[in-house]
Amino acid sequence: MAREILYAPAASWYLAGPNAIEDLENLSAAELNAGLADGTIVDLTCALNQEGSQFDLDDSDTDDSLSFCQVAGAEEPTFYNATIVYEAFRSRDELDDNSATTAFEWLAWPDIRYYAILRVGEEPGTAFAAGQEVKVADVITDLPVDVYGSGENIRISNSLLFQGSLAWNVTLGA
Amino acid sequence: MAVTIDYEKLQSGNRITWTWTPAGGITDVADAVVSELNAGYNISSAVAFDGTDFSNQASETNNEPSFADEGNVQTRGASQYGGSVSMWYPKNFHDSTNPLSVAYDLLKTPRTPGFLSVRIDGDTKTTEAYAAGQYVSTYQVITDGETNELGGSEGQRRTVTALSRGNLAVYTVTRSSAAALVVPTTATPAPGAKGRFEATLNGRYFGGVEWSTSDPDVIQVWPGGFYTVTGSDTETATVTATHNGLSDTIAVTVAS
Repeated sequence: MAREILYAPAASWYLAGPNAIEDLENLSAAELNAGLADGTIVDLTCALNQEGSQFDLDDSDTDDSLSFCQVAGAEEPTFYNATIVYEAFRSRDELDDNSATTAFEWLAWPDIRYYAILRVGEEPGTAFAAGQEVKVADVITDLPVDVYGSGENIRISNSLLFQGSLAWNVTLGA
Repeated sequence: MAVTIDYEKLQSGNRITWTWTPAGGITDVADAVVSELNAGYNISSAVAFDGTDFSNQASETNNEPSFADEGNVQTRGASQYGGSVSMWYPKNFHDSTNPLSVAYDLLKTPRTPGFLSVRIDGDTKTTEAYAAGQYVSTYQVITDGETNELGGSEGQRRTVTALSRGNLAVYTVTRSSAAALVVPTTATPAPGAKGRFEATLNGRYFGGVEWSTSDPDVIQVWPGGFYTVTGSDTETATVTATHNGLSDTIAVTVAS
């Protein structure tokens, strides 16, 4: 068995509209590719800043209440928590149709519900296929934050608010 | 084959316009009127990158899961904005030809109420006047404390805190004539089709629109303009986009 490590670029970041995914527990490559085709899913990989973007499953809430048959110290994870931040570069040409202007249009206003999707293991720009691994979380947009500094590129950041549902490291069906 | 980025990144130099408008100078922060913004003062050349951190921040959040949720549900609480604006002292005070002196006079008195507007819109430079169809964010503030960076070899600066007054509009679109919210006049999607409607405000894409449908049995809509056609065979419905007292409609007829 060859010991091979995955190296970048190997992550793809997407946002999907609330109508793009029918069932989080039965994700398929066909459904996601259809979303890319009809515009209800966008691939924002090339627009996002590696340093400012985040797609993490945080430690769950826990409950350490015990029955009389349990030993002290046993904990059970209860509610999931996730931290998902998309930080996109701004385009110098705001009227151009490119991945940065698309990211701006999807991230610049609050209260829009999306599925955030992260695919790890494939080169960006490739279609979804059965057997690929994805993480998906139900989120809504917050107010955006402009991020910049002297001599830096301008970015727009949105700390997406987790809505309680996720499918983490699941394998796509056909 | 690796994908490559398809855009040129926007650099911060000379592309972030700071405008101060005294209290009463802006009627509605969500309605960015060019004449009101241009009547304000462009203080961009007086504001230093170092020491300036004024912006909106991630909102306060509440965790409010229902019995139907498996994870914590974050709801958006109060909007948060504020921070510091750092400005150089002018070499000579009371000099109306020196923008540093003008900015000093505008903001020298603690607890001065007004509006800070920030324009970031592609290649638009800080020296350009506001024109219709530009993205701008406006925050109602009141100035408060002041710290001073004096001595040393650098320009002498004062950094003023701008406190939130709880009234902001992020990425609205400027107008010079009557405000216009526009969506496609008609749509004839196929049964079962999914997609996304888009709206423009004063000629630019605008995502801060509320969407509604006259008949969810024909077409369902979600925030952001996402839709799924649920009807069939020439059934009709009206999709309405609204924002800040404006509205426009799409006459939807499902394709047969």
